[in-house]
Amino acid sequence: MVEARIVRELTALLGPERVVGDPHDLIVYECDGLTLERATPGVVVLPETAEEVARIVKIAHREQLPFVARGAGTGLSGGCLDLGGGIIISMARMDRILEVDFDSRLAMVEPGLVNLWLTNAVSKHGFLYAPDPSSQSACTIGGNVAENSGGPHTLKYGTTTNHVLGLEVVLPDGEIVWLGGRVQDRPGYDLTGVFVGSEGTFGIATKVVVRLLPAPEAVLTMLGVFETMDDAGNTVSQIIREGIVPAALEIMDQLTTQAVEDYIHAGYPRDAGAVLLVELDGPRAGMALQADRITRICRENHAREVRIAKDDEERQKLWKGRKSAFGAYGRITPNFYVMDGVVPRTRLPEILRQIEEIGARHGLRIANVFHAGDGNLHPMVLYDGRIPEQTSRALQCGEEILRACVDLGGALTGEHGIGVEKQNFMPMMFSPADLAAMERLKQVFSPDNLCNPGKIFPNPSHHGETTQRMPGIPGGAWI
Amino acid sequence: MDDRLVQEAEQILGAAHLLAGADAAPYAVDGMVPRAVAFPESVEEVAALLGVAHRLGAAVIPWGAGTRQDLGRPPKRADLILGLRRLNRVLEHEPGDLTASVQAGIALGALQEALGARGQWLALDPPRGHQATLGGLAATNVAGPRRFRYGTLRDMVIGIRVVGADGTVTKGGGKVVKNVTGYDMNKLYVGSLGTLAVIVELNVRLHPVPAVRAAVAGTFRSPDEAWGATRAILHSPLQPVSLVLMGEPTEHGGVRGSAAGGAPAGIGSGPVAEDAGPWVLLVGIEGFPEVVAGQRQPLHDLCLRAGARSLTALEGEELVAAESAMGTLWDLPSAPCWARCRLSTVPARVPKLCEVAAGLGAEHGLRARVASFIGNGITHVLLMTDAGGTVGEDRVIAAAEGLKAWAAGEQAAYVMEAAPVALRRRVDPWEAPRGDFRLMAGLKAAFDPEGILNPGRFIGGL
Repeated sequence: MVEARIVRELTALLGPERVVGDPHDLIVYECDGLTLERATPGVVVLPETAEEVARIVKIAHREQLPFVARGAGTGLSGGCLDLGGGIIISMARMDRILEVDFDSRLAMVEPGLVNLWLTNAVSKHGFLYAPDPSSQSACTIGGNVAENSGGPHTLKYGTTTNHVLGLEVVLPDGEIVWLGGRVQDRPGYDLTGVFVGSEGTFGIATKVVVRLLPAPEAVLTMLGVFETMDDAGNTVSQIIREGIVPAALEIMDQLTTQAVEDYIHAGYPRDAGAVLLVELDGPRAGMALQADRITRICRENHAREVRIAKDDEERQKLWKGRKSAFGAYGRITPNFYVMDGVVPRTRLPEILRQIEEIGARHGLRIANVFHAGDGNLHPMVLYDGRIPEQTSRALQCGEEILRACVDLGGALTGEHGIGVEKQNFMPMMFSPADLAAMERLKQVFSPDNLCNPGKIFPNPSHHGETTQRMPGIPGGAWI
Repeated sequence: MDDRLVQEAEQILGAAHLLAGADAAPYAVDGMVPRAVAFPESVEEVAALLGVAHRLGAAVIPWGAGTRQDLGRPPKRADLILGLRRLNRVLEHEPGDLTASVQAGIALGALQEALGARGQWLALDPPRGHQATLGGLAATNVAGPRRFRYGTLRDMVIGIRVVGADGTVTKGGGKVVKNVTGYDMNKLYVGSLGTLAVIVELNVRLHPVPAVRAAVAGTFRSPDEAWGATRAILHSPLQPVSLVLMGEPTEHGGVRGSAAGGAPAGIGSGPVAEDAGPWVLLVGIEGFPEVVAGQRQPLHDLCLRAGARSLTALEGEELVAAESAMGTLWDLPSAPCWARCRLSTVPARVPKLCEVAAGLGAEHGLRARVASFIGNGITHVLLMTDAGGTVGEDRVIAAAEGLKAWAAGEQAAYVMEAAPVALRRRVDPWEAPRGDFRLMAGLKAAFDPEGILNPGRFIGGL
């Protein structure tokens, strides 16, 4: 609970319509896309300027109240939960595009801007914003900065951190500073680089300078249909070995393609062991030859069918299927738990076998849809939370899958972040000295530890679930 | 020898890999001869040496190939040079993963050779960078023209192992290209000039060696015209890998005899070479043959429309020669006094910067040469004077400070990358610290509280 006098002060600053304190209204802010974890915030405020954010943070700092910024709430690791009963600072009203400079290939935007809106705004000029998390029609640029979000096209274009040039941030004591800016290679430590992906624990970004890229002259999307997952995986390895770096390489297993077909009819075969979605982009010259090379590689790996989307409509449909996987699972299972592990690309066949074993051992089905090009898996543990023990078994599956990823030289998370969800798994990857170095870094930005506390670092008192209330089907979640 | 630093270092390494006394003289940093030069061969030895230095309060200068030791302010102290050349192995290279793990002391040229044997490369091409070590390149985050397509080491380092100021070994990141597990410690250390920790291992993402490399070289009468071509390319869906503008800015429109000017040998020998301008725009393209072939003509056309006086298609040895000609800006100048400054602006301001450099050159009696990675707005200005001694220094300093002042007014970034030590002792090579400096000072205090790592060399005296 936030004391009434503080709520009054915030209300005086912002007006009653931009302060949310009614317990009923706060339910919306209890969780993000990871509905297993919930916490009721003390109060929610909706600033409209960096100065307002700074004043709110100064109040929090003065009162030693924890605070956390929130974008669209599409995160998948509980990163924007208010664990301390403090202040949630919603960036929803700071959603403007402030500047677009095509000569410099950059834009300056507010953090609450929805990712896809930026591309929509610049596409008529032939440009785009490359990071495209599957939630891009809802998630915000500020949230992407906090999580260093990826997306299917990171194989070629990298993640958010490769596209952020500078940030105006409100530090945890309320001071407004610029990190980086419009120009590259500013001398000094790469504060922009460490801020991106710090999961909202270093401060609150209030302006973001991002790179824009020219839209590719041509885009070509292909679907390879395989009897087995191994064949699809080997195809990916061979494409990379032959020196081709497509814009995206995505694999879905049979459980996924069937669910997707029932849901949105994307045109995937129902009886295939795996489908591989390949996207090429770039100059039109030579694209057909590239497609021929990929077709040949698919055939060499026993593809039953290789299909090239003949128009934009078919292309959109193939992608819609991929990006709707999350929603589709909701139709075949009461609950699911999505992981975000990463393995070196060449270990994909091995990790998939291990995931199957783990699922079988716990008597749960696990669906797989993943960014095969960069080894980023999204195993989906399907379970029924109404059956006793199933939730804890699903969580156990998740932990075992992540341990297997780490043992194969991989990582706990490729794009979803650690948040509260995986904080206690951090020692799988990092020694106490490694974590101490991260803690030292955090202390520089946030010495009072008020800025999104309780995340990332191991917390012995947190056991899997923060909540007692069971979630329904997460309708608005993407991967 | 009664120096405890030398004694304890010898206990760790043995005498064979330690220099002291007069033998250490070749490793003088900005005229300061270190008490000891150590060449450890393992991470454990690096850790032990740093532990000793930390206990004794000895200042440590990490040293790769020594190619960039003139970057930054002269150190406050230089007791122990930590030479990393024996940590020079490729630890892992899995072509199917497009990643490699290497020790920090490996030279870029040696690494490219090892990777190239399996069809891959680290997409980094710093001019004259073959001898430079990966650790040194990461500490300085220097890059070459192809950063336009591939970025810098900042974008390529996916995992890192460092030895902290107290000798503690820690790691960040991992071995996979996509990883948000914990804070991005790679970004903390890359570009930190060895002031926070000593980098000992790096995991990097790789790219396939392009099947074909080529370039279109256009000559222009002025930086403005060359910018016109650049702008058209930046607005197009063409995908060049590099955009380099080279020339010698002079006060009156920039037309100086092209032999003495910036047009390197081998460029501008096309059909209209005779009245070609002195500004060369080198546009790199690479990839599969059909992709390169398909982009050549559109690039050609864009340059012509922007006013190119001559156009040459380069490949093979001609391309290497053109790139090498650009690289001369990074060679030790024969002029008695000089400085090489690097400025970052938005690309559209590069012509203005050339004009400012010309004006400062005329005002202070200097020659200026420019190589700009114009697509990124990274411009290198080499200032040279035939005057020696303090007169020459005065002139170069006046022009360099003029560039710094202009940069400050433009929100541009500035650093004097290289200059003779006598000159650097008289001027701050870094731009003035900005609002974020309190965080930088905080990082230095948190990671090197005793101030033993490259003390005083970085921006603001960090």
